[in-house]
Amino acid sequence: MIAVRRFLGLFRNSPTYGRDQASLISGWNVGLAGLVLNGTILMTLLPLMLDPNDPDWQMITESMEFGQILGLILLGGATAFATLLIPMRLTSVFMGPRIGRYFDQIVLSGITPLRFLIGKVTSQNLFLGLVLFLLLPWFVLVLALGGLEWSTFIANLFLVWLYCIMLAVVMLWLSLYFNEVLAMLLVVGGGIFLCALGCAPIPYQPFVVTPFPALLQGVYSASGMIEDEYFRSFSSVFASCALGMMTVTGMALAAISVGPLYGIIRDNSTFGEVVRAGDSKRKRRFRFRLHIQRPSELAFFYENRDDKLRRFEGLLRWGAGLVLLAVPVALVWKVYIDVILRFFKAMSSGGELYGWFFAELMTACHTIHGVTLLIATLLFSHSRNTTYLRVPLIPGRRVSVSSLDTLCFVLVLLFSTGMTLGFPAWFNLSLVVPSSLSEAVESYNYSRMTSANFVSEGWKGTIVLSLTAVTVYLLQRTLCLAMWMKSVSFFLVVVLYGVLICVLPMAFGLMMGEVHELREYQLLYRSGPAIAAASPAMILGTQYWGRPNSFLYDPPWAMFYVAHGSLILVSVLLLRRLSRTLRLEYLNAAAKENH
Amino acid sequence: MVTAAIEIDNVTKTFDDLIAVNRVSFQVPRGATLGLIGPNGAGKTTLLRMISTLAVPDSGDVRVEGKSVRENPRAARAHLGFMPAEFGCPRNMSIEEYLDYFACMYGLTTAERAVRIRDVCELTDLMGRESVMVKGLSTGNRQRLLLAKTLLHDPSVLVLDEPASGLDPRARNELREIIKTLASLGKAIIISSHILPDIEDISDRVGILEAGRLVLEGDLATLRAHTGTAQRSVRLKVSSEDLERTSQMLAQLRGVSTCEIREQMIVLSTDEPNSNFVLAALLQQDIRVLQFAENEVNLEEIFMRSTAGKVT
Repeated sequence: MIAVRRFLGLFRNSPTYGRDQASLISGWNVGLAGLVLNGTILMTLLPLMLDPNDPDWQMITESMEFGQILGLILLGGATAFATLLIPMRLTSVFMGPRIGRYFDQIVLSGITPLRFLIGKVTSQNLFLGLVLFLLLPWFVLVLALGGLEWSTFIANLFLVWLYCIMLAVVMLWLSLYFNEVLAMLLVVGGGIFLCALGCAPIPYQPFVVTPFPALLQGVYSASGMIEDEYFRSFSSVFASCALGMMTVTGMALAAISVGPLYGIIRDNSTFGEVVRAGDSKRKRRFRFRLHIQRPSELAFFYENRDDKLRRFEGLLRWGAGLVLLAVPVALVWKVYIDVILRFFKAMSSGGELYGWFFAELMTACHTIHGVTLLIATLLFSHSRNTTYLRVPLIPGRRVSVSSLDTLCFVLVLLFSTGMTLGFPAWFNLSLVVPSSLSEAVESYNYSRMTSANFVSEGWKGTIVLSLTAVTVYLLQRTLCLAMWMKSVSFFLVVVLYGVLICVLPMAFGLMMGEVHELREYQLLYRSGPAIAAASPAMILGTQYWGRPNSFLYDPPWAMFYVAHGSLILVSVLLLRRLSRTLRLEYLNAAAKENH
Repeated sequence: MVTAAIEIDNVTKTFDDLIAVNRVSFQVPRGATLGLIGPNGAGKTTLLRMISTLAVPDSGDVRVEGKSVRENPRAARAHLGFMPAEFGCPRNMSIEEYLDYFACMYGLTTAERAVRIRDVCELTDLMGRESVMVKGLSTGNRQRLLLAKTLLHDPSVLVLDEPASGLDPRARNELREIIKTLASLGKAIIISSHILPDIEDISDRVGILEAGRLVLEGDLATLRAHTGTAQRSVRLKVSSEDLERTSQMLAQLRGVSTCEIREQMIVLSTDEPNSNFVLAALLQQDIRVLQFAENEVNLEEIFMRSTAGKVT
């Protein structure tokens, strides 16, 4: 009982709940909400009013009661309304303390970030209540028309409620990383996009993070647009939607509790000075000062974060990062292996294995490998204001963020490389070789292959990809030392590497091979394959999917290693040089100007 | 062993090459009030922020009710009430909403909030004004409200940074009374102010900071002793023909520490409990006294003597 009371108290005693409750019922809010909501619903009904003889409408109205349809439209309207307005209502959550400048008082109150923010989430219940209240006349109409399935309606209403809570939590989560207005635009845009995808009549609807798949299930099922067994059952679609939204909400709540790394102030710092000397001047220069203001403000909220988190900061953050990456990757591998095995059984029943199967298998392995390492690069790198922050890994042992990042990236690299090398090898040794299968020669590209080449050919591409990932990671870590936001540096690295190393050399090679006039320039022509070989896209492309032309049939691989070895060397040297000055800043005392 | 409510142990804080607080140590027991005075830039606010867990000492430690602000700041905060010099306030709130908002932050339940808000309003004389909007409050009422907010969670340690700044004499007087009441309730109070008569009136002990160092700390008698300042000073006026003779006579009188002529008046200091013996000597010598005034040496004089006007 006490635990339940405490749990409820978490919501009721959140200061933001009281504030939001106080500001909810105002003439302006009610009027605006009523106007937008009724406008949304009328817009939905407009096609029916304009063209009642439309065959699609007729098909739906013949298979469903009009009261039932109107009930769904009301809930759909409420969902659309929530998508637009809930993120907007939450843009003030961090702005309030900024305008009132009462950060000190937040710290001293001992309030945890989750308790401060949770009130804003739970107050969405009141907002949804207001929305439903404004829809009362419509509900009366629904009842008058009849045909409403109460159980379905209530289940859908529950999903709309879950959706409102999910939107609020996700908005608050993103607000920790982006400016509130930007976060609001992202959530509204993402919400609209997912709602639109959720409306698509596709079997195994994957976009179950909005109520629309469940709202429209009845319509699609009745109209016969979907014949899939799974989608024909409302309960399974309802369960998928509820689970999807609860998973996203849970993850966002966990992320809010943990908070961004730049919410931790460094040891020799003081509040309002989280970055380094000279920030006050920069603050004045950059009006929005996203990279400076936000960390120092968030530090006030996260000063009272959970004690366990505080003691095991490194273990929990990087451990969670590894788990969050490893679990989906492992799942993808599992699904992929199952699919390959099923496919292999079907194919090998004819006693032959086609050459393209090898290419498909390796390409899929390398896609998983590449995407895993790309996510790891973003996940395990940090911008200059946190790179050398020392966090407690376990009580009594503090480790720098940069060391933890490196360790985690190396672990992911080893795991992913191991899987990418191991799976084809296991597949070859345990399935292909014992089956004594031969490859049917489908095209001249695979004429050299034997049944054992899954291993002998496969490892080269894996090493190329791993080396590419190490290069990109080092470039990212280097650029991070000069940037305030790792997402920006990641974007720059991916674009620059993609254009300068992947695309340009390949384009040059292709041009040399294709444009005959250029062959007059012998030096260029002879160096064409070597330059093209610097690109990992070129290497992987020629290995598995055949040569683009005879000119690049067998590019010199050594060039790839030379180019990437040089890039790695330059990155390491730059990293050492830049880190020296930055490390000193971390050791220095707090800046006077912010005193 | 009974520990003091606030223990400051050899605390130092630097900002780049500036030493804001330099090896400061003192204690404040429960029910006592310590006045912290010093020139602008002496490090008072930095010291108060360290006590309030808002800044981390570079070395040394501060313990609030035995809880280290370095090792366990969250536990220390539970005992702390910090009244900052600036009034930070959420927008568009009435006094009651403001107090309720912060009471929620302190984690008080709905029932507790109602009782505490009533209590602090009563204590700070805000009763009956709960519905007044915060942004329209006078400076005096703002300070009252800030103090009320500081008391919401019933802290045992109060850190007040310039609470009387900008207040008129009547409001200052009321604030003094409130602080005295709080001290009588057993709270340990540290108060920083430039209004020395107020500090003198409400503090049991006074700490004088200059250039980050604690120059003096103790009760007024101790401070006087340390600065070599006598207990009382007497200013008297005699006719000009008696001036020199009277000065020489009084300088040789037992109990007189110093005696000098300033602006045609004799100024002497004494450690005796009263200055009747001076009057008696004058009457005995049949010297006509035109003016006679006896004063206790005040904090301002001690402050002026003990500081050199250095700032960090």
